Amino acid sequence: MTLKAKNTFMIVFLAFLLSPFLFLRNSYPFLRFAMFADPIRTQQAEYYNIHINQKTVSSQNAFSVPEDVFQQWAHDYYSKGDSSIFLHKLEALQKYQGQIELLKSK
Amino acid sequence: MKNRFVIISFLLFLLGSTIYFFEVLPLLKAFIINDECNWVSTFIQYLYPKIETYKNTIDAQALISRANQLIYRSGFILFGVNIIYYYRYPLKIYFNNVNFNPKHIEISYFIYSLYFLYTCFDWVLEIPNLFRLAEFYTPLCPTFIFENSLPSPYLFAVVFLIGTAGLVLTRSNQPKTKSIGAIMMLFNLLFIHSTFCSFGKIDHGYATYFILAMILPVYFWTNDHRFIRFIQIAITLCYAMSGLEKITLSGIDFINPDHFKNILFMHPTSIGNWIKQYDVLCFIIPTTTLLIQLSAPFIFFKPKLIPLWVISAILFHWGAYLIMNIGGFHSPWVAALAIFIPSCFQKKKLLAPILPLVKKE
Repeated sequence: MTLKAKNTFMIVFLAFLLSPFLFLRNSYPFLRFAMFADPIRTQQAEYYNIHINQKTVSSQNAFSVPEDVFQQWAHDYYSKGDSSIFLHKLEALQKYQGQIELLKSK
Repeated sequence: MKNRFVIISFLLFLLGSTIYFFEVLPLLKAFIINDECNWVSTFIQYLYPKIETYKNTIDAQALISRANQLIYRSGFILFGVNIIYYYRYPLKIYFNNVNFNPKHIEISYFIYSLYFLYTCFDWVLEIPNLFRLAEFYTPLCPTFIFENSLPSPYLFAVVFLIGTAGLVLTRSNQPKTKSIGAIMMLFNLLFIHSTFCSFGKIDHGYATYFILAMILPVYFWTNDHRFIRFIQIAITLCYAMSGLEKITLSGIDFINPDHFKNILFMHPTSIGNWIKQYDVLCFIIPTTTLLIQLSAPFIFFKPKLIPLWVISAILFHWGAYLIMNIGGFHSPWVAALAIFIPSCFQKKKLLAPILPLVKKE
């Protein structure tokens, strides 16, 4: 590999590395930096609880879905106004029968 | 020549800012506030598919100020490029003057490949879960290149075989064979990881590990130690950008104890609950985080600090696991730090050869 090719690779790679910072987005699933960077006013700490037959259950026990993944899904569907679709999908996953409710707390 | 480069950068920045503030911003406001459709909204919806979610969760003013950051950040990057351009000759000598002990590089690679095996094993165990949650699958690049539905178990098996064969090939003595092996391992990592990320939650834990995986094939091909230094620089930039992201988005609020308490509220653990009671700790922890992240690219100017920074970074990741249950003791961020092993054991002062040249400049 020539010196010019090596240097070109480095410059292109650096540009690729800086792109998520410049455009405030994930270039690819593996290039996402900075957790919890949002300010308090926009972060809006929120937590979603799942109730089955009016009893609070953990997503891990009820659907075998890790808590952090469940919170992310709930946030995404809830903020798009698609919570009913989310509940419908959860119904297919639940281990025991019952009425599912999604409650948001701040 | 140097001045011409600075002037051209400044003019470009001025032109970009003018177009943004007078042409793009009014259309952006119309889209965010009044939901109007225009070329800016089409472009934003393409580039930021999550904009509809943000419009419902973040207030309009905060969203606009976030968009304005494109200009501040471009200015910041242009400033950095100008600094690099201005000091390009001494930096070039510094960058080219690397001579690591091959045994130390071998140890780093051993840790990388050991982690590769561990990750693959972990993923194999998790794959049955993916099929159970297939309803939630939304393919991400590069998975969608291959299929629009969840890849079949056979495809997963083939990808793992490619990765394992790649690992074996990297033990070869031929640089090109080693490089091809590393590319096969990279393919395995990218494919499986992006499949896992296609379930609504992106795991950014592999950011630095993937940087390492992406540059290693070039290092194997060339056997040029400068690429090991380049991986180190890229990893420290990744940390620095994380810190800068926090400052640009939150400003001084990031070290406000209430901000950290909010984070602990979302990631409850017993240690986190204990920390929440003390404002001092809720101030010290985010401040230290910023210090570790922002100081990362500067460690090369004081090589003695490299081991100290690496240890701090490892403790930072372990701390995040203990306090917020994020990552783990075996986090890929920690595994990627293995690439600093050659520098940690390098006695030679890195900047010594260039200091006289900097003075001459």
